[in-house]
Amino acid sequence: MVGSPFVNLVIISHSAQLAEGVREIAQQMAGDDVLIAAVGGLCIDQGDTVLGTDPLRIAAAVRSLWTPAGVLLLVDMGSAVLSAEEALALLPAEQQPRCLISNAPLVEGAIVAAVEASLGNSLAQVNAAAEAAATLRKV
Amino acid sequence: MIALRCNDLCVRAVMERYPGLEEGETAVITINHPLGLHLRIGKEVVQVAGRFQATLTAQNLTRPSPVVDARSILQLMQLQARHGHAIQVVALGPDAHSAVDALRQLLESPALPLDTPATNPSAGAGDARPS
Repeated sequence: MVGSPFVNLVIISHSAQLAEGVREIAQQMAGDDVLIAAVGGLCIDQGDTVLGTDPLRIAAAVRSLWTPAGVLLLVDMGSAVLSAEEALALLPAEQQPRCLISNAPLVEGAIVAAVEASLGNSLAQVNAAAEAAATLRKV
Repeated sequence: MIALRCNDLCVRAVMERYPGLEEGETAVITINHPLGLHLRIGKEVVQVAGRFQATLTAQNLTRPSPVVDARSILQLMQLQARHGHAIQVVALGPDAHSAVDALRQLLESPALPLDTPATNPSAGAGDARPS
């Protein structure tokens, strides 16, 4: 949705099921205005998917919902960060500055980011709120 | 529900004497939704709170909880508020009364339109579910 005033989200996990589950909950939080894509797993021969992250698929996901308002990438851990960085390098130069890899925890960060994005907040605001989730006690 | 309104003449006089003081309202609201203050209602609270200038905090009086910012979905989850729990809401700011009224309306409602199954239009090209 090019031109959307809302920040969109990409959920990146080593597990396709985990990414999809986080996307499901985040989408319920965000409503219809915020686009959220889930990318997880690594395709190997004959369409089998193993745990891992694929820069090409991440790049495709970011491209599919890129908007000037920005795209926040939420990652689970480790090489997901590297893959996300590689994916951003594959984007057109003019799109890269409006994409941000978040340091937020995946589940809580996605929920917060979804709500904040649905309020029409900026990419920096959405990311700051999501990253703040890392310090919040649950019990 | 107990509501203490700071709009009597005495309070007005104090506020005029000390211009730095803000208008405020506090209310104790009982959660009426069968599922309690769960994620989706929390989202509604954040959205409603965002429509007002007043700062809005909430605390669960039934189960010990911190005082949380009503504009933070995760902080609202810290309330662990179930059906029947009493939540103290404090609003400070020029539209504090309206803000508390709006939150009361939301939290005392037994159901939300959102409780119907959510539509999900945007899985998009990035959906990596294995085929």
